[in-house]
Formats: sequence, structure tokens, C-alpha cells
Amino acid sequence: MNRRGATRGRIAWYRFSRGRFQVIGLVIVSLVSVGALAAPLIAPYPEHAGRFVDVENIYRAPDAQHLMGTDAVGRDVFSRLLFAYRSSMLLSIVVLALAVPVGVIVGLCAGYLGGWTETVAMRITDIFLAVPSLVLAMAILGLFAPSLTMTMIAVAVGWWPWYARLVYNQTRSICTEEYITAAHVTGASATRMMFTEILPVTSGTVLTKMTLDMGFVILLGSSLGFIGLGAQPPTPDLGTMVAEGTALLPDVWWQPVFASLAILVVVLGFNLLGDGLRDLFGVES
Amino acid sequence: MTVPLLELRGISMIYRVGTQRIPALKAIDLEIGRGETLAVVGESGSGKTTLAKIILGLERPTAGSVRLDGQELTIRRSRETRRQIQVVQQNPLSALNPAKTVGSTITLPLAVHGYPREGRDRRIAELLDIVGLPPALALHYPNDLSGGQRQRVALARALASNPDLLVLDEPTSALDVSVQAKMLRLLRELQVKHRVAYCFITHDLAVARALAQRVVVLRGGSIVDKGEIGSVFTSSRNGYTRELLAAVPTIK
Amino acid sequence: MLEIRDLSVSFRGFEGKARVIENVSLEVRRGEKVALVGESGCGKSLTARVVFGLLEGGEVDIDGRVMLDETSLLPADQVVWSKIRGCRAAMIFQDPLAALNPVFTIADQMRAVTKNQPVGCIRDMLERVAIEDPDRVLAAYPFQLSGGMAQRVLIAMALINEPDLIVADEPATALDTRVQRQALDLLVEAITANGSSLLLISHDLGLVRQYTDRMYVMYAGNIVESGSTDQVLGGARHPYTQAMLAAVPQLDGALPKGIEGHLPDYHQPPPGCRFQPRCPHAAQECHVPVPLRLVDSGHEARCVFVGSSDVRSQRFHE
Repeated sequence: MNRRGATRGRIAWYRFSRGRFQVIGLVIVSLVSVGALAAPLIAPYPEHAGRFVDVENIYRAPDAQHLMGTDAVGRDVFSRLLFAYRSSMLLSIVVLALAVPVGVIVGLCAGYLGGWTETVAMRITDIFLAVPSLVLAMAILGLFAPSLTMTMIAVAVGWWPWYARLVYNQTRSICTEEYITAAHVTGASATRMMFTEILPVTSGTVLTKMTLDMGFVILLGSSLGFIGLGAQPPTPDLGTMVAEGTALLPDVWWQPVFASLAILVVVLGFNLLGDGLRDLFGVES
Repeated sequence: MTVPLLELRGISMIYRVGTQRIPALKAIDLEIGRGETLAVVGESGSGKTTLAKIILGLERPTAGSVRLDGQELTIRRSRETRRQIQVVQQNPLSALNPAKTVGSTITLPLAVHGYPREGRDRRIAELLDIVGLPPALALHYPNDLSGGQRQRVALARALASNPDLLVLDEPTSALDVSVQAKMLRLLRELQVKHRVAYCFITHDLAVARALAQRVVVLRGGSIVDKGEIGSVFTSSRNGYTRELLAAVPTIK
Repeated sequence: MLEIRDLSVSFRGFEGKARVIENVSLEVRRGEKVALVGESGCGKSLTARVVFGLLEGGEVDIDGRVMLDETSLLPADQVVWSKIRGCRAAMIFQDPLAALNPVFTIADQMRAVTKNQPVGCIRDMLERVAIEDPDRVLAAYPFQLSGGMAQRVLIAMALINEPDLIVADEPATALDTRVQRQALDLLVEAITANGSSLLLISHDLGLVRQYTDRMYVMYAGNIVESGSTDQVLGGARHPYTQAMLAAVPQLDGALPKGIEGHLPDYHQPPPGCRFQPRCPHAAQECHVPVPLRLVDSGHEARCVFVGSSDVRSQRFHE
């Protein structure tokens, strides 16, 4: 990064760090990411994330050895939550890696090229947007055997239209700007116009939405996991862990409570961070 | 008799809005020779913006022809044709892509016309120098720049294509008067050095007088006066022209 | 009537403290039309915003006194400012379509502005600003109006409570010259009729010449010259004012001259005269703060070469 880029980074950080909440969001997201990445190393009982049974230790309340207690088959809840974060983050990353490029390209083409491309693309987008993501995901997962991979695909299918719509709207308004006219006058091809001129202008908005979406995908994934459509046992899953424990509330409270808090914390973190990015990029959305 | 660089004959433009037909331009004839400046003077609603768009190939005229070096142009122009006619627009705040550095903005025309990669950085520095900006500015983003600086970058971008004709649509209207003065001098210098023709669109008659050799006065889509600018401004008998001249404020 | 004394404004930011306005003093007497002239970045709009209490926030430091007759506008609080805004003093902003709220009709917006006047006044006001069909305009939304129409609405909104002072910040720059002139003619006519005062902020010397009696020239946050409009435009003594006048294109076709250099960095402004780095006459004496010096009765300029019997300065003013 050249010197000018470094200064812009410092200015961005200066502006970002003025807001307490967005910094908190950044801290939360960092901690969760580190936790998820390093789960095999930092979890006190990494083997509990797989097939493990210890009937002597079932339903232990939180204590020094098990910070968040143990579950129905004696597995350490804290370790499993760390691994559950792993699945959730992976879900978010893969969903966005699939949905964002598709959505962005559809939006760019529809917005810039107009005509039939626009009509067809946006009608398809509208159809997808009319169906709530949860319902759509459930419908798709109903056709196949549930697994983390299928969940990723099912959620991605419902997610790309949001990016298409976002980038389409942005593209349409950007196309009225003088700098786009000037670029067009130089004789640039449509591909160049879309990808080197228009796309960079939308990047702030897209990145902000991606950050917020990291949290929302995790939320959606947890909802699916709650009804058994996420990662399958014995792989830990945030939603499943909430569901497993609810039957025994309020006596054996630790698994559902900590699992719910885990979801809350990560979604909150991404939300705060995303809001901060929105202010930083000056995005109106 | 040499063929003029740009020739418009019988250009008309009628916009259809719903069931209404709004005439924006009526049978416009004009020429611009190589290396000369034609001022197009008009107020808002005179059709000058539409005229600029037609020259730049951004709108298809309802009737008439546009010829560059004798060749008729349509709205579907080749890259080579587009290279020859470039634009500098009015508003410095939206003239440059905010997500791209100055260098990247100037690179666009170089890349479009196949300028060899190895030479690009050097060419960008050259172009910035030509418009009187320090080469280090290439790494900056537009929001670090003042209005005058942005217009110069817009000019450098336009020059990067090596155009024969530059359409300047109120390029200095949004600038402070001292910045405008520098810009006008720069434009004159560039015209002399590089023999670029200018189609200079403005509502400011004094600015037109400073830069142009010939003038065309637009009103309600028609040309109401034309000629060599000195004589039009001193001895025109056209009522509208005289009205415009009278409205030019005197300071002292 | 409006008195600004020793106003200084600085902003604290990433690169430190930017001293954008330094020791600015100006006054507008009752019934006067005064211009505050300068180019982009000189601080003139900022000065207007201070008067109306529109500059607030943790990162701004404001010093100095502003008085509107007996009321102190600086130091002051939001209560004081909201009482005078629209009532005793009104501001007309630069871009008419941006200054109007797009989701309310003109009627709603004007009603929101009237404080003590009966509602029937609104229609009359629109007629006074030469709007031929006030009912249509009242029912319309801002986007349905042309720029010229919207500007006249803004003027009507400013005049409706018959304020003592109107501050017009680059009024109608977004419009054609002829429309701009019309709007300003209306404004000045109404102001003269009411006996109000006008503070016109502009970079357009033609407007200043036509509409104002007295003017202040501002450069890089300082007042560098002041006097009657005739005095300053006819016999400018500060090198910046002279350069600005020389930059205005005339119909004779000569290419006007620009000013070398650029505005100083407000984080590290030159110690004395802020124009000194760009001034063709800069000398040693310019490196210390320069007070306003008397050129003539009512005419002052902030330049070391004014009012002295130095031979250099005589040559300079030939």
C-alpha cells in the first residue's frame, strides 16, 4: 500500500474509532473470529466437538472445569460453542462468497445495460425477494438431506437477490453522474464501465451490507439449526444447541442460555461493526 | 477550401415526453475548424446542453448530420472516433469518480486506447504537468482536491485521449474567478501548443470573449446570431445578443 | 445592528487544529446592505453560520462576540438562536432546491416558518415575490418548481416574518444570470421597503457592485479590506482584492490573470499576513500580524503598504 493509502487508512481509523459502539463491534467480531479460527487450539475440550460421551458428567452446572457446564451427554458446552462459531462463520463466509458475486454482477448488468437484461434480471430478483429467506431455505433443504453444505447453498440461493437489488439501485443512480458520462465519452466498453468505473463506487455500500449480513446469515443459520436443518450432530451448531437445551429449562439452563447469548453476541458484533462502516463510507441505504 | 474539423448541418432535436413533443434544437448549422475555439453562448433552456450531447454522441438527433473531418458520425461510434472528441463538464464535484485515484481516472482513456502499460505512469505524470498539477497528485482521491484542481484533472483525462476536439460545457462556471482565470490561460496555452479545437459552451459572454475566435448565440433551440466574436460583440444588431451584452456586469 | 467582533473559529481534526477564521470583525447597520466577499474556502459562509448558531459540535472552538442589537448571539445557546432564526434574522441558502424539504408542500413549509404572522400573509408574500400563481405553488412540492421559482419561495420564506436582518449566502448561484438578477431585485426591493438590513455573501463582484453599499473582502479567514462598495471596487488597496478584480474577464477579450499559489494550510497558516505567500509585493514586514490600516475615511485594508509614506508603497499604488 503506498503512502497515500496508508494515510487514508489512518484517517479512516481515526474517524472510526470516535464511535464507541462500532469499536465494541470490531472487538466482538475479532474475538469471535479468533475463537472460531483457533477453536481446536483454545477449546479446553476439543474432542467434545465430535463423537464423545461421558455419562458421568452429564448436565453439570457451570464450574471451574466447565465454564458453561456440560450437555446431555457430558460434553463441555463452552468448547462446543467455539466449534459452533466455526460452523457459523464458515456458513456466513461461504454464503456471501457465493451470493455476493452473483448478486453484484446481476445488479451491475441490469442497471447498466438496461433493456431486456434489466427487465428479466430484475423480475427474477423480485420473485426471489418476495419469498422470505427462511421459508425459501427450508423449502430447498426439504428436497435434500440436511447438512452444513446444503444449508450454505440453500441460504445463498435466497441471499443473492438482495445484492442484485442493492447494486442495481446504486448503478442506476451512479449512471447519472458526470464522471460516468465522461468515462463513456472516452469510448470505454460496457465491461470496463461496469467493473472499473461503477463497481468501485458501490464497494462501500456492498462491504457494509456484507458485514451486516455476516450476522444475519448466522442468525438465519441458527434458525435453521433450531429446527434441525443445519450442521448435523455431532457437529456443534448454535441453533441446534439452543434447541437441545430448551426442553429442560429452567433447571438445566446453561446450554440454551449460553448458546442464545453466543448468537446474540455475534450478531450484535457484526451489526455494530456494520453500522460503523456505514458511517465511515457515508452510505445512505 | 479545407474541410472543417466538425460540421453540424440541419441538426434538430425533439424530445417526446408522454404525448408532448418538445423541440430542443431547430435546424442548427455550425462548423469548428482545427485548433480554433467556437463559443456557444446561451442561457439555460437554450439547447446548449443538448447540442453538447449530440456532438459527443450521447444523443441521437431527430434530424441532421454531424461530420468529423468530413465523415458522417452516428450515435454508434467506434472507439477511434470517440477518442477524437472529448469533454470537460461543468461541475467539478461530480466530474471525477470518487472511488478512483486521480492516476486511475487518467489511466482510463490510456487503457481504452491501448496505450502500452509500461509507459502509462510516465504519461500520467506528463499530463498532470501539462495541466499544471504536481505528479504526486496521481495518488490522491478527488475529495482531497479543490474545485480548480478537479477541473484540471478532468482536463488531463480529456487530453489523455489526444483528442482533436474538446467540448467544454461551462467548465469554469463553478470556479472562483481567480481560479477561472488560470484555467482560461491554461486552455489557451494548450490550444496553441497542441492545436486542439474547443467547442466552448457558456452563458458568460466575457469568458467567451476571452477564449473564442467565433461565436454562435443560441436561443430557444435556434441560432440567432453568429460570427467572429469581436465584431458580434461590438456591432451585432440582434436584439437578444445586445440584451445579453447589456447584462454583463461592470465591476468598476 | 449586527456586530461581529474578533470572531475566531477553529476545527480540531485528524491533522490538528485548523484555524479557519481569525479575528474577523464586521458590522451591518440598520437599513444597510453589506457584502462579504471572498473565494471558496475563505470562511465567509462559516461566518454566516456562526451568526445563526449553526456551527456546533465537539470539534469546533468559537471565540469572539456577536451582537444583534442588544441580544448576544455569541456566546449564546440554542434557545436564543431558535428565537431569532426566521424572526429577527433570516438566512437564504445557496441552492434553493436543496434548502427546501422535499417531502412537504410549499404551503406546509411556509406555515412552519411563520411565527407571529396570520396565515393569510403567506399568499400575499408569494405575490410580492412575483409568483403569478401562488395557489399552485402553495400546493406544490419542491421538485415541481423550477429553480427560479424555488428561489423566490426561499426569499418569501425569509421575508415573511419581516426580520431585521437577512443573510443571503450565495443566493441563486445555481441559476441563470437573468433569473438570479430578478430574484435579487425582488429581495432588495422588499428589504428596502421593510427597512431591513442585508448581509450578502458572494464571490460575484457584479452582484456586489449592483446591490450593496458597503463590502468586506475576506481571504483565508481574515478580513483584508473593507469600505464602501465604490471605494473598494473603484480603488482597491489590498493586493488580494486587486488580484481578484484583475481576474474578472471583461468584454475586451483580454485573458484575465489568475493568482499564483493557493490558500494556506489552515493547520499551519503563515504567521503574519495570510496572503503573503502569494503576494507579488511580499516583504519582511508581512511576516508579523498586520492590523487593518486606514486608506481613506471608511476604507481600510490589512496591508503593511497602506497608509505609510514608504517609497515602495507609493510605487506599488501607482
